[in-house]
Amino acid sequence: MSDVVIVTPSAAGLLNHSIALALCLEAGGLSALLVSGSEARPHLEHIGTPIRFRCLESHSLSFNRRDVARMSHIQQVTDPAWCEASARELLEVVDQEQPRLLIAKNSPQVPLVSAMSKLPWAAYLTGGPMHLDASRNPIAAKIGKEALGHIQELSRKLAGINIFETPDDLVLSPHMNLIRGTPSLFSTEAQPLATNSRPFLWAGALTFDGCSDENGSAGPEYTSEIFLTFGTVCFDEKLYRRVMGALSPLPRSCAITSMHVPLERILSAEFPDASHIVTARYVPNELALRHAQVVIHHGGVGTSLAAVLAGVPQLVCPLNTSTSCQEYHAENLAEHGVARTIRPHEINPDSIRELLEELFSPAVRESAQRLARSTRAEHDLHSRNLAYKLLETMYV
Amino acid sequence: MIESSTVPDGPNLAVIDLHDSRSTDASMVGAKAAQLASKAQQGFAVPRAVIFPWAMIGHGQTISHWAAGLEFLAPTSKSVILRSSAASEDGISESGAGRFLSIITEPTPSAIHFAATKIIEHAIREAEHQCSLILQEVPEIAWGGVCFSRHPIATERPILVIEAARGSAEPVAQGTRVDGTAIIERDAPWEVFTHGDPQFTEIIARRVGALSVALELISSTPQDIEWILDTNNRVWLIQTRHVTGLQQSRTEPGISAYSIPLSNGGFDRV
Repeated sequence: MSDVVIVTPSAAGLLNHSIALALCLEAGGLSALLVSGSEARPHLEHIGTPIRFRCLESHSLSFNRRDVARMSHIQQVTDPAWCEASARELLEVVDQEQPRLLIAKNSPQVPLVSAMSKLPWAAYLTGGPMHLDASRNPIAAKIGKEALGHIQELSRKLAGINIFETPDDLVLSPHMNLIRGTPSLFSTEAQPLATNSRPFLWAGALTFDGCSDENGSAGPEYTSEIFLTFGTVCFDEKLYRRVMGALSPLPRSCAITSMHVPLERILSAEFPDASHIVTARYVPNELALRHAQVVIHHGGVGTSLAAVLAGVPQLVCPLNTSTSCQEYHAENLAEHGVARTIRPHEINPDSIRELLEELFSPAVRESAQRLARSTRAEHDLHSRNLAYKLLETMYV
Repeated sequence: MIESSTVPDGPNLAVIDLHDSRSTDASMVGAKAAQLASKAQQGFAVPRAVIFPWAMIGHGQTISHWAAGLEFLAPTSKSVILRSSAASEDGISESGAGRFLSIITEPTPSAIHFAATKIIEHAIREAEHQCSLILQEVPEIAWGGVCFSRHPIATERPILVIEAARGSAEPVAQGTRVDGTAIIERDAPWEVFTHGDPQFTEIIARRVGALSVALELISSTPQDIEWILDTNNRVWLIQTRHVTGLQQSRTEPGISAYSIPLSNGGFDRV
C-alpha cells in the first residue's frame, strides 16, 4: 500500500529528482512508491535509496540506452503501443498499492491511469516553470498532430473519453503541477505563472543522488578541483575527447564522469600524460561538489541546482537545446553571475582556460556562495510541508 | 503562524502550538519541544501537540491551565501523552534520556493534572527546575520503536538499525520487548534484512529508514529517532536527536544480537 505513486522516466538524473520528492513525502509521513523502467534499477541500486521502487519492463525507454532503436523520450511515450502497455501495467500497480495520488513527469500513461482509476494526478516538472507556458514548453511543442491523434484514440479506448485536448494535457495536470526549483532562480518566469490557469506549487530545490559516506571513500574523483558531468544520457564520445583535450594542458585536478562513454580507455590511449584527470562512471553530486571549485556540465536541472546549493561556480555547455531547458538554465545562471556558457563546438584549450580563470576568481565564487545561501533559504521555504500542501490542495 | 492560546489566570503566559514561531526557542520551551517544533515546521510528520512553557508551569499550574491546553489541542485520539521538555534533554552532546518521564493518559484536565504533577516532581528530583511540558495526541499505533540512522557501534560499514514492537514504542524504549528488528545496509543497494515478527515487513522498515535519512540529510548528522506507524499506515516522528556517541551494545534474552543501545526515556502509563 502506498499513499503516492511517483512515475518517472528512467534516466538517472530524472530518477534523482523523484527520489528527492519521495523522501520529502516520506518525511511528511506518507508512503511513496517510485515506478520507472527496468533500466532504472542499476542506478537506483548504485546510489542506494531508502525509497521503495518498482522497475517495470513496460516503462522502459530507449532514450537513455545506446542502441539502434534509440528514440527521443517524447517520441516513445506518445507511441500508442508503448503508452497502452505502460498504462495497463501501471494500472496493475495502482490496483495493488491503492494510492491516493499519482505523480508523473512527462508520462502520459499516468493521466490515462488517473482517468481509468478515478485518481487525481499531479505533474512533477523538473526542468523549470517554462513548462507551464504553452508557447515555451519544450516537450509539448514536440508533440505533433499525428502523435496527439494516436494518444486521443488510445484515451477513448482505455478511459472511454478523450482526456487529451491539447499536447499540454499530456504533460501538465489540471489539478496540480509541482515545479522543482525556487522562484529566484527563475525570476523572469515566476511572474507569468501567477496568472496561469493550471495550479502550480514550488517544490524547492529537491535533489538526491546518494548519501555521502555510502558511495566510497574520498578518492581523487571526489576531491578534484574541477568536476565534469554531461548528465546521464550523453553518448557523445567526440565531445568527451574534445573536453579532455582542452583540460589536459591545465594544471588543475579534474574528475570526468560518464555512464556510457569509455572514458578510461580514451584517457589512457589519447592523453596518457594527463595524470591530473581521473574518470568515473558516476559520482554523486553532493560528494563531488564538496571539494570542486568549478563544475562543468550540460545545464541539466539536477546538476545546476546541486551546484547552486553547493555554491560552486559553473561552466555550462548546453547539449540538448530542443527538448530540454538546458540553454535556459545556462542563461539564467549566467545572469546570476555564477556561470559562464560555452557551446560544444567552442570547446578548445584556450576557451576553456580563459573561462575557467574567470570562474576560479574570488568574485564569482562569492556570487555563487551568496546565491547558495538565498537558494537554500527558498528551498527550505518551498519544500517545507510539501506533503501537507500537496494533499491539502488535492483533497480539501 | 498559528495563534497560541492565552491561558486563563496566567500572567501573559500561553500554551504554545508546535507551529508557533516561539516553539523553537529552547530557552522558553525546553530542548525536546524545540526540536519537535522545528521538525514539525520543516514538514516532518509529528503528532499534533501543544507546549506548556516552564515559566507558566513555574507560576503554579491549576486544572484550568491543563483544560486550556486540552481545549487548544482538541485531541481526536483516545489518549494523549504528556512529555517533559527540560533544558538538558536531547542536547547535541548528551541525550539526557532516561532521566525524565513521559506519561500516556486520558485526555481530561484532571488526568493531565495528575500526570503533570508526577512529571514535574520527577524532574525536580533530577535537579531540573525548568521543565516545560508537551501535550501530544497519541495516534492508534500499529508499530512503534526506535531507529538509529547509523549504527553507533558497528561503524565499519554504514548500517541503519530499527527495533519495533507491536502496538507501542514503549516496550522498545524500555528495553523490555522487541517484536521485530531490521538491519539496512546503507552502502548501495540498501539491502533490508528483517528479523522476528513477519508482520514487521521490509516495507515498514524502508519507510522508517526513509524518515531517518530525511532527518539525517536535513541535520547533516546521524539521527536516533523514536517513531510510530499508526493504524492508518502513516509514519510519525515522536522524537529525534543526534546519535550521541558510541556506546556498548547490549544483548538481552529475546532481543536480537543487533540490539542497539536504547536510551529513550521510560514511558509510564497512569
